[in-house]
Amino acid sequence: MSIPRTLNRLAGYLQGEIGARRRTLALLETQEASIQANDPAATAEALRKLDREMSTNGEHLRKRAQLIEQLATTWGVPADLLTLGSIIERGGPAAAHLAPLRDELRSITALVIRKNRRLGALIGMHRRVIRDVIEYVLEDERGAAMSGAGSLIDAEA
Amino acid sequence: MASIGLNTGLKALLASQSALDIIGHNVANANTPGYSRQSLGVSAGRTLNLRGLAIGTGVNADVVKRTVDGLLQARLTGQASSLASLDAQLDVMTSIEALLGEPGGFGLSGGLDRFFGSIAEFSSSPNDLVMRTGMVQSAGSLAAQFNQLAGGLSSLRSDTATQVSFNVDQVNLIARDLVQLNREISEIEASGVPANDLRDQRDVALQELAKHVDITYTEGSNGNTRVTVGGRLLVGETRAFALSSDIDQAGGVTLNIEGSQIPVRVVRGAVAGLGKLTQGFIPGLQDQLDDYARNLILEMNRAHSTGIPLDGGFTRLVAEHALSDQDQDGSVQDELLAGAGLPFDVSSGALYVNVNNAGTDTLNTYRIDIDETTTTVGGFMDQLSEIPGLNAALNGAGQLQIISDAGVKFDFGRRLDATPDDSGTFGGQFASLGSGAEGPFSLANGDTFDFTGPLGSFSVSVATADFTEISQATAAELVDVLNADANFQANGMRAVDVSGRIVVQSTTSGPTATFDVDGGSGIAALGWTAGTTVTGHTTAVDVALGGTYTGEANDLFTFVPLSDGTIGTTPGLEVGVFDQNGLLISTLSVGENYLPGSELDVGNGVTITFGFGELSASDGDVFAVDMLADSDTTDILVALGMNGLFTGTDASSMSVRADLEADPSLLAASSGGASGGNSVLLQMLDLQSSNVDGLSGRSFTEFYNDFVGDVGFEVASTANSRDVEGFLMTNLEQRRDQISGVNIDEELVKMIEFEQNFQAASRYIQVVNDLHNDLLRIL
Repeated sequence: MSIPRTLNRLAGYLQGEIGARRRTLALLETQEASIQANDPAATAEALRKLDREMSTNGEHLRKRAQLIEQLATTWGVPADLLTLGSIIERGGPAAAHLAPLRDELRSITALVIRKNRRLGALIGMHRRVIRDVIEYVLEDERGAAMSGAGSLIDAEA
Repeated sequence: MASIGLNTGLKALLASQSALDIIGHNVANANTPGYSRQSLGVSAGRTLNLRGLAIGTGVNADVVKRTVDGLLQARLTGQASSLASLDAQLDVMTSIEALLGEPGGFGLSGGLDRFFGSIAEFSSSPNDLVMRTGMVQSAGSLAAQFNQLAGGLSSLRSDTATQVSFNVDQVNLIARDLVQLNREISEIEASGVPANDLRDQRDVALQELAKHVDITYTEGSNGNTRVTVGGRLLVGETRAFALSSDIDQAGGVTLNIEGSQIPVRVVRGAVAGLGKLTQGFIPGLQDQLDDYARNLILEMNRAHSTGIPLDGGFTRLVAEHALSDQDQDGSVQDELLAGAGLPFDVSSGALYVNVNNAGTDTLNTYRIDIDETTTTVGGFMDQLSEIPGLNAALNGAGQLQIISDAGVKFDFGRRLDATPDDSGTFGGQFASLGSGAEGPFSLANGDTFDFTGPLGSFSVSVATADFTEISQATAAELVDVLNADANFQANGMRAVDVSGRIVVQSTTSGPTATFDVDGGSGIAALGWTAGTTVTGHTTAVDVALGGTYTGEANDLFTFVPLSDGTIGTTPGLEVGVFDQNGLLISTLSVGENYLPGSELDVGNGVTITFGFGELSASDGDVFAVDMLADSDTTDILVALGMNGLFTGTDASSMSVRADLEADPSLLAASSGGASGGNSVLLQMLDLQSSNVDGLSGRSFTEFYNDFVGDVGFEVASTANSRDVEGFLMTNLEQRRDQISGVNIDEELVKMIEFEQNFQAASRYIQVVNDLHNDLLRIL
């Protein structure tokens, strides 16, 4: 396979990766909103969608590894040394169209990471609050938490 | 940008934490009465214009809201009033039902059955002292049951009235709490923060208040609630107005509120329910029970007062009830007997008094007529004292006492005069001429009756002044005129009134006794003819009555021969028996086939025997005898409380006569005086099933069954109403719970869902983080 053709396929991969990151970002925002609205059903739904989104990630990784492997073989360099920056530099004009895609992917990935961290902090806080409430509600007459001793509620009892 | 992002996240965290805090508060108050579920009101943060971009600032937690439906709350409050009213009534009514103890034999019906059973047993052996004592004891037990029931109802009424006071106290306590809650709510809400929990407490207090009295309430703009009861202000802006209750002797409840002279009227709530019981239901039962006891006392005493004790009569009787000086003139004797304060009515009629003189071995019956519109206490006492051997007087307490002379006993029994022809006007030894017909007789002023007696001829004339109406002269009036005539007396003659007929007799007897009716203008009116000679007989016809009169009403039987002849000899000789209306009720054959002295049936339980002798229809032979079904048609004995079985006038005062309890031989089994007689007992037994005027024509059994049935119906009806109202209340409470209540399971499930979601989300946070870090590595 020729280098230009491989680079074009890499551009297609980048566009797909950018779309996937945007969807991930949107799902994280939905999840955050559902938590703020105290809507467990919406949170669960957002989690299911995120799960589906994450399940497509393997295909992205495989495709990316295959393209980078082809370029590394062509250029005679180890694949793990190639980055998008070095590919653009090695490809010259044939790889120029990859630069804006790389920038956009970098930008959206940074947004996802920040949103993810903030959501992580929010979820951590909520878990502690909920734990406190449940401990309070279910503590026995001596003040000992029952939740630590077993299941919370026997719904059939 | 970074600071806006951090702030947005923080606000979101705080909002979520508030929401979860509220969930915790809801869960903690899930079982708090009246608690309304709370929720967080959130809104989007104000948008900021930053570098030409409208950037949101996250979420704001604005207010903690109480989830309530005001209309539903008002309906709950009203329903609480209705339900509390019925609950209060049902509680007391159930106690009344238990007090009656029916069915089960422990109630009054069992006592009545035992009482009538003891009478039935005693009636089969009227001389048995054990049976006699048993009847007195069962009467005492019955009276005690009446006392107990009356006392129980009275206590319940009193307790119910006390409950009204207690409820009113509660109203005042709650009203003061409401004032305090109003103050706290308005203070808190003045700063813009809703006082949710205090409002819940106030709703609970209002509902609690409504259980006692029906209320209306309105909330002002400052959050204060004004409460009115029966249109009067109970809880105002700054103070409560005290409610008070007055309970009168009759159990009537009057509610007043501070600052108003007009009584407050409540129609629902426990106070109204209890008020209905103290003013309507319980007094109604007490009245019915008293009526029942009063009529039982009246009817039993009617029977017993005319009965005769085991030893044959009384030597002294003292009335239970005192006569009183109604016009306050210092004298009781001028009072009308029917209006002298006696507890039972006295009506017009006759009282028969029997006097048995052991010294003369005579038994005489005297009739005392009472007119409820004219007979005075003094007049009645005079009539009693005029009876030979009796003296009537009032004791210091105003009670009438009748005392007999030594050797004399008296009673008021329905004795049958065994020897009714005391005057010898029916085939007697005296020369005797009867009028042949009953009066009145049409006489005129100056009419004469010409006789020839042993001393010669004489004439008796009558004058208008001697009669109430001379053209309607009665036998009694003419008897008085004749007996007052000096010639009539001097010639050994006398006149007697035999049930409205006049009979003129010689005072000597035998064939030598004779007088003539010579003429005169008055004799035609008596059916006599001039030239009639009447002669006495050697043998008097001996007449003897027996049996017990069983007719339903008092009567006067008049016996007259239907022809002239000799008893047991003359063929076809008959004696006609006529009732007081002149109707022939029986014809007795006393001619050739009659064996003198043998018993003939007159009818209505009465028998008669005739001895040998001559009867003359032509000479107007006649005798009459009272047949008494009731020897006191006036009820004067019951009214005075003389010789009754029971004393008292109502359920609470009813008891067996003390001297009867001490000496059961005073119990009167018979009214005829015969040994082994049980006519009084049979009359009492009849009362068990016969209709009683005072009980609206129902028998004692029917009345009591209706009484118990009515109570049962009222209880069942109230219980049904309570069930319906309770169902409505439950329905409203369920609707309230759906709207305002906390479902702890739901709240916990919601939290656990959060927990599970967050747990899953935490995993994805890591996945997303790893993925993107990897991505950054190749960028």
